[in-house]
Amino acid sequence: MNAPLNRNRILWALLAICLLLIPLGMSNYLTYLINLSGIYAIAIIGLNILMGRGGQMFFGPVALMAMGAYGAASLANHLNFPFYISIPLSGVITSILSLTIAFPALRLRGLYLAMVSVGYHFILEQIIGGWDSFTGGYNGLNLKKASLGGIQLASDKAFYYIILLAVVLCFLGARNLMKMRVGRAIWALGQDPVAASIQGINVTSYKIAAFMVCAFYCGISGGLLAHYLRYITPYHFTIAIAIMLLVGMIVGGWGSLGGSIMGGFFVTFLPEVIGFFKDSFLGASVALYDAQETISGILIIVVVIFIPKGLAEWVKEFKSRWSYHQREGGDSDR
Amino acid sequence: MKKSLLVTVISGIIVGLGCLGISLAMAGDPGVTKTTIKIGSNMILTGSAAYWGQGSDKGARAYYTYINEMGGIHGRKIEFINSDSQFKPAQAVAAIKKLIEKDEIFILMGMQSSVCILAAEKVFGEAGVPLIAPITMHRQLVDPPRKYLFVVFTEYWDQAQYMVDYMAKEARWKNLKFAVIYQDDDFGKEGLAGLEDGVKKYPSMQVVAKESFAPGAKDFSSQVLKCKQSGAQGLFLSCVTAQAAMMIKEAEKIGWKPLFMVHSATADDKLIELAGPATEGALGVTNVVIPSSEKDSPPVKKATEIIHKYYPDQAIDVPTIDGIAMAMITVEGLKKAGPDLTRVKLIEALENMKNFETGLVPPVTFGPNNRQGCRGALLYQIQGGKFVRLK
Repeated sequence: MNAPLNRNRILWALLAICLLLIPLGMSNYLTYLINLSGIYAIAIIGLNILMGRGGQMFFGPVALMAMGAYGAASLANHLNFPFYISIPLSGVITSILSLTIAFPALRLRGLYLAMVSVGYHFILEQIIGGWDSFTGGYNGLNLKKASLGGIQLASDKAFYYIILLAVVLCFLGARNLMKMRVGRAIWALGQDPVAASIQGINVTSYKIAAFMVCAFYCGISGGLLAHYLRYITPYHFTIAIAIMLLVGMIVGGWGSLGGSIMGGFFVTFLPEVIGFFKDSFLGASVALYDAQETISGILIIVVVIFIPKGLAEWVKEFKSRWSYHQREGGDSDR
Repeated sequence: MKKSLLVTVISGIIVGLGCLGISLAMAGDPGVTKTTIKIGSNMILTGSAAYWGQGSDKGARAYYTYINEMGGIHGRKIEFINSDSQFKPAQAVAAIKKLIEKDEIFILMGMQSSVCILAAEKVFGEAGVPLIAPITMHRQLVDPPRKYLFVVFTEYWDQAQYMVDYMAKEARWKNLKFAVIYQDDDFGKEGLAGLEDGVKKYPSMQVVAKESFAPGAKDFSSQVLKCKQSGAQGLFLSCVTAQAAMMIKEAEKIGWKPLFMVHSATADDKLIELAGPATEGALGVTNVVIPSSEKDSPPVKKATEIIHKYYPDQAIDVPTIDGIAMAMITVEGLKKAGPDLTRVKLIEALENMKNFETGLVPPVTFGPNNRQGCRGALLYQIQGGKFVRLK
């Protein structure tokens, strides 16, 4: 019975080595796209905890990302905190600030919560745009290069490792959280809040917990974005991007943590893939107005009809068919 | 045997170093070969503002094709590689990284959206890739001036002053009471500042009302009403076309007919298309000629000829003229830089550009400390549903 375990360990070790060596052979352009994918994946993990598991119809993750981004930027610019302090701290601050939506959300369900969260997003956007003494308004905010012990870390390759570490920590954290009482309670709440409260689960507390966890993740994601791009504007946090995160979550897999990673890649690579096809096959003269939004819409419909549990479920099915002789007891990410 | 081996190895190293030295000396800037120059850009090619990117892309591309057919620049043909920002700064950054790393462009030109340019500047600025003649204007692009960034268009501040200076000399306007509605960011505030500073110079003129709105706002009823109630006779709109049109229609709705004034972000045919006859009499100050009203001027005719040669169905609108004008300025810079083409030489050549006439924008002059190509602007008035040049 050691054979399958060893085999798994070898595979994980190979994966780790690949992940560590990838950026050495890649262009900055591709590294940049992978970095953005990781950043968005973290936000989608947060959204999956709140919406995929917790069942809360929340369209405001990008507003929370914005809070994290501007929070981290201010901590870095005004208080000179290094990025490895400003980002987690900003995550915590965003988590606390999310109570401004968590409390109203207690009284709302489904469509009503969805509408209110959209309103929340727009309010945040206005605040960022209008409060220009703090946020720089529509002209944006600049950040200095991130540095660690005197060494400046601004290159795409440097940030690859920072973001990889962040994604790994966030993924493992989320996975463990879902196995603990908090995570199971959030899941129960998402399945059926009435049944959950009959079971003795304090629905109120766990709803708030779900919001705060989601906000922490989105805040971290925003903080990473701010330090990486070194220039943030309200245009980085539009409702269009919120919709893309939602699409990424659905395509990756509703409630699936592994799917969140796929979702992050989907959100970032879709426009590049569309651009590539347009240039190579259709020529620059074909006007594909709003191609990205159109294709995203079509994809949601296709995925929901044919692969309702998202790509992650596809992968799991493939995996389990491939290794059905070695089926193990515990599940990897549920 | 050992001695001859040593000699061989040493001569091998010397020859190798020699070759390396020669190749390093010959290695020029990326994007330039004996036969091609790669020029990159990033425009708003898709999305709601796509007509800007699509028009400018065709205008520039037509001109480069025309130049190539005439033999190119010092024997080199231009390869123009454009990309889409979708008006999203993070995407503009990705596109510029790709252009610099994969396509290895020599220079950037004609980029759109100052937010996208500022975001991407972290990439092209640090890579030392010059950006010539962006199709946008923002104070942050010239303040502080950067060695590698050559801006052509006049700032809105300059444009507003230019307009006020003209109005102050006209009997019908020299005692005008102004109201201003401006977008609440640096873009809108610059127009406001230009108008206020201009009006300050003339004691007979005053600004009696100032109202603002957030970018993306779609309802202006309260701002327009407040301006009407202030007794203003003129309304200056420091915003983009879609919103100016909404404000003009709002004024029409409440029965107010002030003298409307707009700057270059708004003064194009689309404004008349969207707001209709209520725009009659409006003043527009622009950076570039409004082609529909100057169809018979030789530079516009020539530009139209060139564009229609390759894109016969392309409408000759402001974005298209922007594209071709910026391409002309870029090509002039490349010509002056000479056959031994490097980024340093190009920057020098541009710094020596004095009063270069495209006929489509005011004369372009740069200098060692001057990265703002045009001073002054062009003033139009909407008469009979069309823009007519006043000056």
